[in-house]
Amino acid sequence: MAGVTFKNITISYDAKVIIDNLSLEVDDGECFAILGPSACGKTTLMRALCGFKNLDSGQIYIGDKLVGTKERWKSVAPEKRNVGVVFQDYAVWPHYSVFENVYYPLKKRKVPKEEAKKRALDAIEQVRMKGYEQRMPAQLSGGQQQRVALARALVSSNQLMVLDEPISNLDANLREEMRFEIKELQRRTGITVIYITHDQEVALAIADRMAILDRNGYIRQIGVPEDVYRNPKDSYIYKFLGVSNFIPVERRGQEYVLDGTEGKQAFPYEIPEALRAERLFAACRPVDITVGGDGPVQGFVKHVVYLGNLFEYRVLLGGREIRVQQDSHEAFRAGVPEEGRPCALSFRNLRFYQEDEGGPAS
Amino acid sequence: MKMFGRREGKLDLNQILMLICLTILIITVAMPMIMIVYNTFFYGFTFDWSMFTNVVMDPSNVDAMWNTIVIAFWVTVVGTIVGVFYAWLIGRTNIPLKGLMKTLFVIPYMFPPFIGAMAWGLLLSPRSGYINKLWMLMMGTREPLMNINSIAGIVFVEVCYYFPFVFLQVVSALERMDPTLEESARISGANQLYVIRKITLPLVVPAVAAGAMLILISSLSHFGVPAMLGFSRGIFTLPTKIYELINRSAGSFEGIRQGAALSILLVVVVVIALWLQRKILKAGHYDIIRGKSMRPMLINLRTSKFPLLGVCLASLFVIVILPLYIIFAVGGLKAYGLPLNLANMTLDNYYHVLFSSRMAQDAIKNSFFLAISSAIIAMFVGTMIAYVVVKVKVKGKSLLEILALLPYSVPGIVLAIGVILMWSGTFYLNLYNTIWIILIAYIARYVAFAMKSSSASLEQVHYSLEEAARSCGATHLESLRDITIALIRPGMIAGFFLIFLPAMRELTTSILLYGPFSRTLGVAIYAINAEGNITQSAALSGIAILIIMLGNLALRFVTKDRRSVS
Repeated sequence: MAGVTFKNITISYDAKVIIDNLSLEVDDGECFAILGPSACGKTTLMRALCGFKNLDSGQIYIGDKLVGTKERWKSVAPEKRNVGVVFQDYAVWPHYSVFENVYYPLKKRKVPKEEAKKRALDAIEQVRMKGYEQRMPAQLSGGQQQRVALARALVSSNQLMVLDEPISNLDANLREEMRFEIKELQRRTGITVIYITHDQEVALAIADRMAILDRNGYIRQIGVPEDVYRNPKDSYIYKFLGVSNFIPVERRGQEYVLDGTEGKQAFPYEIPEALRAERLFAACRPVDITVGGDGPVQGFVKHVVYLGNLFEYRVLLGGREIRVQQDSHEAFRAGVPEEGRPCALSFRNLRFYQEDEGGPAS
Repeated sequence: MKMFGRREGKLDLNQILMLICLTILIITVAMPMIMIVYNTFFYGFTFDWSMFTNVVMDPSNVDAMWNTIVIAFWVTVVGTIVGVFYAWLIGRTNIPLKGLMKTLFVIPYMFPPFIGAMAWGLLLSPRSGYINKLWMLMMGTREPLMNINSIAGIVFVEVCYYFPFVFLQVVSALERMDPTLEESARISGANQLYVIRKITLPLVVPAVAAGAMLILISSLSHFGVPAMLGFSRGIFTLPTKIYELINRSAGSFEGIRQGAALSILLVVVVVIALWLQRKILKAGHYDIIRGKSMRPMLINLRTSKFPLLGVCLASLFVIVILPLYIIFAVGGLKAYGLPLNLANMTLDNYYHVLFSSRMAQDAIKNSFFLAISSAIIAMFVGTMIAYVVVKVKVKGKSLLEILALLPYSVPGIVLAIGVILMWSGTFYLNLYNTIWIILIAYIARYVAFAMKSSSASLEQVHYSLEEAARSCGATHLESLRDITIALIRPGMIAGFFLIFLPAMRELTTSILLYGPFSRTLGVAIYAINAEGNITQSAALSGIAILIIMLGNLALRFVTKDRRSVS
């Protein structure tokens, strides 16, 4: 078992800096998700950890051991880092059978034959691929290939496993199942897992702790999923973690008002003292808005879409179109709002930000 | 510290591979070329322009250049028309026996052109050719039907063996073309002919141009056919003139320098052709031809179906069957000149070349040795270069690619002169007259083949496959061996045969490089033929053709049996 420490690392391709002075600590035995939009440097980070990409500066430690640094001769070769990797495209070798794929790392690590065979079969069983040992990868589905890659990573290291978007190519059902299985495996074996993804749902579901990267490869927030979700540090994180509405409000004396096409109206929600700037954004999730009843704010219903378990409304408010979701049973009970009519709105769990990173919310 | 053996600045495997490739290519390719230029323009260490001007101004050399250009022009024009016509017939019409014809039309592609020239000499030489004799007998005339020992004859034979370049390119383009493009033209009211003229033809223009340029460049640097058919009448092209200059001077340095000077002229002509190719290929680029294979709309030939089939079969008979027949038949004659009937047949010639002629036996042995060893070496070197070019990010890899592809466009005879200049004691090593000098020339000539074949397979091997092996504890070398090499093995084997086959029948390079004990199959056939021992040279040709056909069968077998790479 081993933790991982990235210490002030900088990585670049040609002249372009991808990761700039990043520091991060992953504890021994935890499942750590690195979440970021595509092309933010997540995969570069993983390649540096595995030893496929050189650092421009900084150090990477696995446990207490320095494995990566600027000087190539002080760095540890990929094959000596003892890291199990599941690549985005699985990288299951097409000319080896399932068993040969899983057996390969044990052979290379010079594990005695009998023991190696047993461990390979164990790993295959753990990923529920028993009975497929002699199949060739071309005969397997995407999900099965992914499990083979997982089994191979499991036997190749007992301390650290890195998974790079391992389930993004699977269909929704399989994705959910694999997500669960990876978490199960990690709990059972106690191995340190670094899970790289752009999918906030997976990260929230699987991680003990997570780090969120922005487009330029900087870490914006690190924490336990529940904390991060409940207390996003800035508007970028808030938006990254799910569908969101950003409603602009302005200060008028001690009150705040909404400024929209329908004229100004009061926005009677309490705003923390520290945040009370001239202009603010009130952020909320679609499910945290209630339509109808005696809500204190007036909006205008533009579209109503029935999604089965939910109703989704597009509501004009404060010059923006916001998304509202309502449980359909509740909506039927209270009456579904009509398109093209004004409606009353009330808000829960509001957060306030002084900026709206990335432009108007959808 | 555990790793104190490693010092800063130590090269990693990728850089070592790169350096090895670069060294091999500089020695085998770059240096010979430099030697040609140096020896043309320098005498000792002083600049000497006179050699070049003397050679270039010599009227007989100007004649040779003119012949080269005229022959190449007509071969390209006629070969392209023939190739496009048959490609269209087979790719786009409902002509019967397609599969058979597709196979047969590729045979000339593997037929050594100089053996074809020999066959046509046997059939159509002005006085003794079998067809001409028959014609004169039947017509009671003394005028032959056709004189193959002429510019037109050379053009005819080269067309027979070079039109497949266009044919193959266009057939595959037609097969990959989206048929809806033609269908929508028909729906919009265009008639059949209009569609062919305005839609189909323009769409295959890039394929036609690529094939035509291949013909042009091959013909410009071609040696075998003009040597077989032109020497006796004093018709020279640049490659045969270069050979003549060196041969006449019996390997003296002056002769080699003259040959080198003339080579530069030939290279200039080829470079102009290559430049034209670039311009033309850039001008016409269509993305409408897709990799997906679709069922094309076939044109119903109706009443012209069988006449056209007749034309196809007749031309196949002329291009394939007749030369094959005449080679094997003359190889079986008791004496050259006898009528071709069973009473005059014997297996003595075959027996002689296989079991008692020292020269023929040596030639077969040498060619096998050279073809196999050059194929193995070039395959490994080519794969190494392909690996560096495709997979590794190091500076200078484009230089590597240019050097490896250079012999593609340098005529074989020019390469041979460079190799002579380089390995005849200039650098303390004299390999002249040994088999090793031929081996070096073959490797330089064929590395590009292996590189192309291997890079095509390497491009399908995603880098993560190798990285996965590294993470599993394999060293860089082990991951190369276990994963990358294992996955591209079929491509490498195909590359082996792609070198083995042309090397087996090579004539152009070896005819300048052979020594008393290092004749190759091509050289032996040429020499026995030049001695006037026609039946034996035909018998040896027949054996060469059999070897090459077996090799082609083997190639088909291995390329069909490919294990898929994901």
